[in-house]
Amino acid sequence: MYYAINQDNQNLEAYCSFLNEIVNTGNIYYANLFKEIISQTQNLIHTHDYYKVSSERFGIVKFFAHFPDVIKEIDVNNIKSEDFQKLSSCFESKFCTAS
Amino acid sequence: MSPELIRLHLSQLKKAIIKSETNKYADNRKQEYHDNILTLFERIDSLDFSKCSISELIHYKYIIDFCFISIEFLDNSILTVIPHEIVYCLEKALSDWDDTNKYIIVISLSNDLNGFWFNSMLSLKEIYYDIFKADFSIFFKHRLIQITLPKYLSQDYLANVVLYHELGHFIDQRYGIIEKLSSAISLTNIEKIHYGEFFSDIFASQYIGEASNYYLHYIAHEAPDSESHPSTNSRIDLVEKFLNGKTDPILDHLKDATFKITGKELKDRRKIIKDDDFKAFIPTNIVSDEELHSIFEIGWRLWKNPLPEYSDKHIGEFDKYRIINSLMEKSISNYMVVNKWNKHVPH
Amino acid sequence: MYLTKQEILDLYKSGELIIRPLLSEGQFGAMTLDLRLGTDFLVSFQGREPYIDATGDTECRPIASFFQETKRLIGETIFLHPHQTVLCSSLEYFKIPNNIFLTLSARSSYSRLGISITSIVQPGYCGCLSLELTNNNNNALKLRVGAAILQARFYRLEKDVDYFGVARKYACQVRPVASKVNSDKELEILKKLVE
Repeated sequence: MYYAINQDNQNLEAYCSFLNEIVNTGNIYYANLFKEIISQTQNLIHTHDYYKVSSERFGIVKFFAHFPDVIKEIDVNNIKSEDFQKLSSCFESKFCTAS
Repeated sequence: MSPELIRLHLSQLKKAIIKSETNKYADNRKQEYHDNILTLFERIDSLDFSKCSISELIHYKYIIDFCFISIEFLDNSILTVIPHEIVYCLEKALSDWDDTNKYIIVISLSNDLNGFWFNSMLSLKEIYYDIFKADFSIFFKHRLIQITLPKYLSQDYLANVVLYHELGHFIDQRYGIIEKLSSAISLTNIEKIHYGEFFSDIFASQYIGEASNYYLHYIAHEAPDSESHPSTNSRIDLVEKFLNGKTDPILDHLKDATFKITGKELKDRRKIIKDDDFKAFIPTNIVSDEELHSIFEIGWRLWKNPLPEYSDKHIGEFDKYRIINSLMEKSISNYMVVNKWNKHVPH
Repeated sequence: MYLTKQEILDLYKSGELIIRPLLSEGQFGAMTLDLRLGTDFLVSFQGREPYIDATGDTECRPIASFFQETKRLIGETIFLHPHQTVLCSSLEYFKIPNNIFLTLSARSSYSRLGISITSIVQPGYCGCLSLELTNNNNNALKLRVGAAILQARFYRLEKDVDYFGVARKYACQVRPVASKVNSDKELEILKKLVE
């Protein structure tokens, strides 16, 4: 489950668990949510227009935008398990650096 | 955290839910929300917590807390001491900025005399609603905007102008206005917080004009800049500039960001009405939503200035306060009644 | 002298008589004005004290504490139990000319159900009209808020009365208020007669 509810913008544990949820359980709702978030992040990286990001996803989109190289490579319509692994590694390395 | 503590928490929630089962809501959306909370409770109550990790147990505790707070605000929303007239005014202001019909304003009363605040948990923390849909297949169509006000001021229409400021915080967070502006122009953390307060002051003054500043003087005195708020003087100054159509870099940023993000303008939305009726001890006939919000400015103007129409009739300060509040309330409630009646009466 | 419909209408249209809100001009009858049940109620309940003290004793429990506030939105309903009295007010807020007073009674359709209201409204009064509504029926009554349950008759005096010439306890009320009988100065005098 997408736990660590009391997350703020920089809660790496929550974002890692979000990715794991999709990979491990195949939760369709979270998978669709992931697509939406990646799409908005790609747009933000391309346009730098913060005003166009939807407010309810702003925190997670802004965080994902810290990893432009990985995000740009993701094909939103054909998301692969390697995409999750690459993102997850980025989060974990940032998590390790932070702690 | 342990399964036994979760079970305790669930039993406590069950007691609150049983008590709330006889609630009758005038607004069907509240009933739907309430029904969803009951369903959510039943789903969680049927889980086996003995195999959950600590993180999972904490996760469920947060969900139970969500249910508790929802029930608290729904329970409070039917109390007779909730000022329905104030809620009506806030809903009208909200409808200028959000026409989704998704958000319901609910009010809770606090024992804290300064307890005016807005909490975004039930309205804007989409993560909860994501989880309810993904993990429990429960779809909440609506969100509750939680606003708290002091119990002893619940029928004080002069004090409750602050609620427009609190609604401003909701609108800001609903659209992420200050969050996005902060990223766009690289504000520091404190600047971001201060901009949030400035936005809410300006938002409120669109509707209640200078009444926003009158109460700010009272509640914030001449406070200097702090971590949580800009100085009172700078807040008053910015509102005055806004109402007088003057420019200011902060104001320009706020207006620009608001328009680009929401498509709506921060602008003076008032229609000033005369105070003759109040001076003659009668509620005023309001004919539009713009005039509705002006009632607060009239009330404040009459309170702040000498009123020979009252003092000549042996009406002391306490009765002047009571009468002004009563006339404000009756003016608003008459508008509500007439609008409802006119919608249904055959012509 | 009773005012006729035309005379009441003239007062209303000239602005000397204020009625807000007036939902329908159909409320003007041949010589009465129908008034509606308002949204706020005070319901008495039995607490620990065995009686309400109306003798002017300031040490006793306040009269307001024997009543509970309840509110309905217009169109909602309220029950009046057999022989129950509730305090309520008219939906309409009045400002009455200084030379006019009103008597209030239940409309015939409601008095036949056992509803009784009797009250007078002083010249120059401002506010919603305060009502003591009693159900004299052996059955409970379910009433709808906003229904025209009472009627007012208007009388003209020869001279004006200055309503605000003395301090007024109930002026500009928009909801029912519990009795303030214990603030009557005369009760203090009477108390001293036996001390």
